[in-house]
Amino acid sequence: MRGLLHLTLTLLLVVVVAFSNSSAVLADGEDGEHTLEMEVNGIHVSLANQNEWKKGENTIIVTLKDSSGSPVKDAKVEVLIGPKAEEHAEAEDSHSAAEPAAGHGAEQGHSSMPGMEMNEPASENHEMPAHDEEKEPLLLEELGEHGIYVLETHLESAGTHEVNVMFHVNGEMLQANFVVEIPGVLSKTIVLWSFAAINVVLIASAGIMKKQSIPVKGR
Amino acid sequence: MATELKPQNKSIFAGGNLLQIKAIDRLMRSKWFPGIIQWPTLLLFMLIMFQLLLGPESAHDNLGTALTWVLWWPIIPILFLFLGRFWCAICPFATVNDLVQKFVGNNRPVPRFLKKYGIWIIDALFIFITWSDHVWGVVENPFGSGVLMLMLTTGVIASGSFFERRTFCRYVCFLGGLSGNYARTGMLALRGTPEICAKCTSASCFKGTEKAPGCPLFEFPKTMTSNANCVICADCIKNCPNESIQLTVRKPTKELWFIRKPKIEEAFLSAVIMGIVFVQNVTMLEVWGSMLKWLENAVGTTNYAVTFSITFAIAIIIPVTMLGLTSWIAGKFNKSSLIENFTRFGYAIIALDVAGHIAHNLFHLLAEGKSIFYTAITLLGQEVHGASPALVSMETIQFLQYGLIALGFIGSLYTAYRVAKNNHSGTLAWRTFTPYAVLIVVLTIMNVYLFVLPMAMRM
Repeated sequence: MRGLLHLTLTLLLVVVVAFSNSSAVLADGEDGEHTLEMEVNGIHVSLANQNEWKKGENTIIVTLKDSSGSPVKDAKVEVLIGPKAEEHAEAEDSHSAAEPAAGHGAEQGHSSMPGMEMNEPASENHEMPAHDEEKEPLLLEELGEHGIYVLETHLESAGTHEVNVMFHVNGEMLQANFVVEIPGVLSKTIVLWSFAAINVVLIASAGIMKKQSIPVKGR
Repeated sequence: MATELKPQNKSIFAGGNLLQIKAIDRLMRSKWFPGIIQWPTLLLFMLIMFQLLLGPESAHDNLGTALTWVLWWPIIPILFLFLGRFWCAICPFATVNDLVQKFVGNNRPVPRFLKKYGIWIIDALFIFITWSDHVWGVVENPFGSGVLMLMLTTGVIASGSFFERRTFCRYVCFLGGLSGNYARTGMLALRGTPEICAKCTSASCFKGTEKAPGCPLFEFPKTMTSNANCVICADCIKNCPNESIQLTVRKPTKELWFIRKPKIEEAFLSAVIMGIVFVQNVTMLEVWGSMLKWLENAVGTTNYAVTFSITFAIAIIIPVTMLGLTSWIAGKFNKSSLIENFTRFGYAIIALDVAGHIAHNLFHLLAEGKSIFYTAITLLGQEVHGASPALVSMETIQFLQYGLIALGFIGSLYTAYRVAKNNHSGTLAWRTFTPYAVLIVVLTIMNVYLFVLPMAMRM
């Protein structure tokens, strides 16, 4: 019986350790992979995150350079971030999960209800919000004169996200679409396997204990 | 002999036994009941779990989120009102408990601390889960909702593996605690016939027979005075050799008028639920953003966990304090202690709790109901864009919400009156009742005010 308890505790310990270390493992794996780049109509667009992409607060950095490598200044740069649609990759199908970090405390409260970030709250004239309304793009702030644009934003969910960078250059609106993987605090797989392991351990322990208790009953 | 004592031929509307109706009697005694509802529910639950854990990451597109938080959660208090805790009989978690127990269950007795502090544990869990939903965003995050379900699944697997019957459902499940309180207002009651049970020595209803197991929630119909822990699983109906069990329709809230052994933890839970209904409503209002801003300035942090925790604590403390204060005032008249009054009259709030809870969730059900269909057809490759998820207009919803609050108000007021009358006589009963009437009026006004303000949606 004592051996069984030891075995159970050891397995649980392994699960707990795997559970608690998972975020560190994921963070390490992301190092050095923060910048994504793309060329749109001769404009070089790079998308970076000050730290690694993560659920929660993120500082997004967009850099624009023209074909000669000079920074694109005074552009109106916006981003639309949302979980990547399952089958349709079109930008219009994505639903934004981002909130500007400025005053995020207030915004975060709203975002705890999904409808609040995707739909306008029911207004006083009692009109129902549409099922599929979209979030407005978020405006980035220009940092200095190096073609660098920054946004602090709050990402509500982990997983594959589309980041659509929209910018106006010479009166023309251009768009660069990136796909980023945002790891949660724990990856789904680890969470699911942890639960599975715990439950298997519980059931196995109960099964073994039940078997052991039968001869005791019979004595 | 037993047949002679069976209460027969009384109209079901006058408290007659529903088992007089052949169809109901056959259904309850059938070996397929409640399995015929339980197993499809488990299959649906598996689909929901699959969607929550592995489906679309946006709540907006997730059928699991829609079925859980737009359909199930709003409907559940309505079920409690009409069918008592019947949901618990078919709950997929309970089914998992039974399955695990059947194969590997050790059937150990319920730990003493659970028996002693079970309701307090439920109270704490209920508060914690509501808090964590807001702080960590469980409802709007399908995976988060899935993890909550997995935690409950692990709880029932642990319980089913080691402990007897449905220990988890009776002593740990937060929804069980809520449903226990709400089922007291329920219109369905199950009891043994006292004259028959008095002569019974077999206690088959509790112990079980080859026909069915004993009561899963450790109830003994012979001495039952409450439906708080009866899940209408009909096991006792199948097991009783004397056909003593009666299933009757009663007036809503009737059980609350005659609580024989009121418990402070249950009275406390009723006040806590009122606070939770407040906080659920407040955080969905348009003004919540500006309230939060004010709070952030006042406490000097934008940390949502901190600001929400303060709001949450205030929302819970308000009704608990109001009930405490009212009990203290009532004590000046009836000379009972604050605790005695708090415990007795706390149950009166339950009717308003149920009404407020249903009214709040009615918004989600009726204003977002079509999202269940929209997310379901997405699974079939169809998509709907730009369509309203509302089933009825906002005016209709608000009308229904006010109607429900009015019914809850009447139920609470009348319960307080009956409790006062049962414990005190003459003018003393009225003097005791008056402070509670004022409390119920104030709580009703607070509820109505919250429903006047515009709310936002889940989907």
